[in-house]
Amino acid sequence: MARALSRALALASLGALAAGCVATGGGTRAPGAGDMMVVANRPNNLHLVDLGAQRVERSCALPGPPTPGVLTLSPDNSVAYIIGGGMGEIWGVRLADCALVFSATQTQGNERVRTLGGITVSTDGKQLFIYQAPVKLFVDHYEVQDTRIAVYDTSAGTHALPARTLPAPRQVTIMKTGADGTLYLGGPDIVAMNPETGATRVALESRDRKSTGFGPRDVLTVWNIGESSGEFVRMYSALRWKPGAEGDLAQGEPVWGYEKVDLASGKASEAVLGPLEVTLFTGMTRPGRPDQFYATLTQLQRFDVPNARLDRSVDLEHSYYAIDFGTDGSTLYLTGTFNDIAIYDANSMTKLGNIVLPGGDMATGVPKIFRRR
Amino acid sequence: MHGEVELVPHNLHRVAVDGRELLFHVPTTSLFELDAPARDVLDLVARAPRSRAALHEQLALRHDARAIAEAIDELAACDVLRDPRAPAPEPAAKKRVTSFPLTTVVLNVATGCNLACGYCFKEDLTSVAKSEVMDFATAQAAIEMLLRESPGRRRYSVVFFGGEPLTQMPLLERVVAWGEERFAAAGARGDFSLTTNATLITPRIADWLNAHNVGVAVSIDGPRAVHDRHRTTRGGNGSYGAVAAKVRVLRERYRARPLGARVTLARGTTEVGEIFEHLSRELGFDEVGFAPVTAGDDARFNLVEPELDAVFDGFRALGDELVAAALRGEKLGFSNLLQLLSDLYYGTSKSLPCGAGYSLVAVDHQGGVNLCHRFTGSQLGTFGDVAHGLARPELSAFLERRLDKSGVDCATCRIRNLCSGGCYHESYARYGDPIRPTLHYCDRMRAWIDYGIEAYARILAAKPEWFARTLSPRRAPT
Amino acid sequence: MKHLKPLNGKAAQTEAAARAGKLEEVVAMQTVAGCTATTDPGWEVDAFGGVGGLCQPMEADLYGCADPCWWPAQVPDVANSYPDWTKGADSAGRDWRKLGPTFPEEK
Repeated sequence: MARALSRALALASLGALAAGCVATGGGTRAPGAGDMMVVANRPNNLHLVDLGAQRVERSCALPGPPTPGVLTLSPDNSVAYIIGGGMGEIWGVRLADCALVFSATQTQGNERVRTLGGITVSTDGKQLFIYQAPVKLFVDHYEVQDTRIAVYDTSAGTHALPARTLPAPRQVTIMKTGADGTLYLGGPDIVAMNPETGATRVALESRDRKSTGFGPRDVLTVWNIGESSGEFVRMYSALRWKPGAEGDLAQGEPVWGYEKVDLASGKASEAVLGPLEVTLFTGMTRPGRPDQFYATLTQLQRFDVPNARLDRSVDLEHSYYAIDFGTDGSTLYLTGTFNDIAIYDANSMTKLGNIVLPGGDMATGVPKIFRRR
Repeated sequence: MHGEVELVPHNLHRVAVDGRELLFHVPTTSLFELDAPARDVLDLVARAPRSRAALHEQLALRHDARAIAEAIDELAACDVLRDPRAPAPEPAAKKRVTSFPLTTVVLNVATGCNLACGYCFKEDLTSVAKSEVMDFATAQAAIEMLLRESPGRRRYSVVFFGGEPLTQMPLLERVVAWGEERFAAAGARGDFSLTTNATLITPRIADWLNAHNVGVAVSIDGPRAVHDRHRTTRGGNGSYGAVAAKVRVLRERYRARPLGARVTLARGTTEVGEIFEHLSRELGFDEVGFAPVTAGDDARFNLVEPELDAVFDGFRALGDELVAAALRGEKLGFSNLLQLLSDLYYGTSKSLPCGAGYSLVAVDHQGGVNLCHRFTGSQLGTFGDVAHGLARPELSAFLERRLDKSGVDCATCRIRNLCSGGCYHESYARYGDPIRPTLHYCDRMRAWIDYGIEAYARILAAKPEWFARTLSPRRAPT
Repeated sequence: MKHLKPLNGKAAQTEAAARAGKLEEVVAMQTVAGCTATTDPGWEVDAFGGVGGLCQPMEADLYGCADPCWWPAQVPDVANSYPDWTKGADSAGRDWRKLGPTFPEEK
């Protein structure tokens, strides 16, 4: 009965989700039919993958190495903007014909700039936001500069320069854009920024929180996943203190949790997922099923969110960094590390196949999945 | 490391201070205090290489095995102890100089001086009438060269030198006015300073120096009897009367920066304490620095051996006063020791003795680039000019020769990273070769640095906060 | 260090460097080796003190960690100094033997 209740609650809260149908498992649609994925790999490829046909539809050549390979799509999914060239270049590739419609070299003069993973576009697609870590290089010393967000005009073409910059807090790795245009920055805390004024507020306290019952949180993410579920999402690990033994590291229980912002409503939420038994790198809510959270590294795990417990774990053939869901939530895709995309059925967590990309490792490259029109 | 250990003698120097055993780590200018196990291990190995087993056996009654093993490992980690059978380390690759982080340009604004101090090292010194002066265009070009060779810095230094720089006041005023704007336009700050004999100071000039934050060092040798020995006019008369009067004018109106006195100790002048007392207490100098003459090309002015000993004795006595003042939380302005304490505090480790030809160059009135102000007008020749910039290959070649310490006494000297072979000009004056290290008072320099380590340790033990408070304001920011 | 007490800032730095320098026994492996001070999957030991939690196989983790400078001490600096270190070795699993050591350049 508890299950039926939680399922009803899950169904009731679907309205806010941008993704497609209610996933009750199976369904009549073939896995991935109508879904496309964009992902980059070595030496300099950007692939458009037909997930229904499970094959690469088009491979574009990037001007340089696809490192770190974090990317974002224009709102109409026609252009992929990717951070490449060893964290220093931004390339905008039109997926229909592989044309380079935008490019920017971030380093200018004696100021060297790198971006680890913070890239996103405005809701109207006209502005591109990049999180920058600059350093000024002199003959015998260097000076670290303040971090900032550079705002580019996406119509500026190649060799673009930023139209303006906004001060931004340090140690931000990923960024996403909310439905109302608010930028969400994943750093020591999750910060919400008004991209016009630059005003910021803390959307979710993470590292700075003073929580009772738990030790400090540790977060690792450079993957801006979450489109299919309409969320800014990341996982954290922490020790849950044994009651009566606060601060006792030996007796604390390691747990996984998630921190997220619903991009449609702007609402931040967090929860403990379950015991930390294995290392996981990325996780996200299954589209249409807010009661289920899936995560991956060397295992694929599914957490039962309302009951904060690990529901199921399967060993993978090798480690995969990044998880992403198809638009209807029935199929999930594991990417990153080597050059194969693993396809899994979300309900049964059985493997449906692999798509092998031409070329080498995806490494930290991030996938983006969208519904083909 | 198993088996034997031996000392690496040129990597360490031990100093005992008030019953504490200190280790001066030469490669890094680190200073450590040794505890009993470390001290005992070093004492034994210093006499002869020993096996680890022998060390354990001989020290078993005094220390537990774990402490002995740890002490050996830690000393080995610092390359103070070594396994004699370990393969000799690869000889370090020749050091190359490929970039010149120029921060300072010294402008030799005039070769003429209104005094005729007996010991002056300037080869091109003339009377004021025959002075060869720098024109404004050359001074501008020198500053433009500085900005071009070393762009993007936040601070640059311009030093006015001579002859007597105050004979060219109109030029100085013009250069400072233009320079302040030029540096600001480059997003930087210009720092101006000069060394002067003070005889030409007027209230107006003192006010100008104060208003533009110009650093001032006055060349003055002490009370009248001392000063007038060598600092004479062309007619042979002592200049003390005029200098002291002008210093008083300066002292009254100038508060912008610490006022320094530069004392030359030439033959016959060794009364360090008396000179310091007079200059700091009676004339009000904030700091006094002493330059012993040992390598002038006119040997009449060189201090003879017993006088050098007296000078260093005087330094140590004055140093004791500095330490006592530090323990009271005060600063005694004895520049020589303040500089040494600074080097120890910051752990300065220098491959080159100074910034000459590297971070500092001097420009003569014709726009030629010289290693430093002592070399302008000398036979050594120039290394480029303000129009064409630094002659980088020649400067690299010069510095790389000095950096190559192979086969020279300096290679194993315990103060090689503080002295680094000494002043190029002293070498040049004494040996005719600026590369050859100055070896004529090495023992005294080593003893002086030992003294500095003792003074450092004493202040550290009783008033550790004195260092940051007193030394950081003196440190030139980059 | 327990028996050498640092008396100046430099000595404190030397002490830290000497502690790391003691790993010269591991220098035998000259290409990639060693673990950083991080509890995320390292290379020798995982967060739980074993090897099961490391990325499997370890080559799967190589470029993902080298590219963003996750282990600055264990692989050449591919972000700034040696951007071509992995050129021609697009698949770490297949091509790791092609990865060579780097040496400071003679300028």
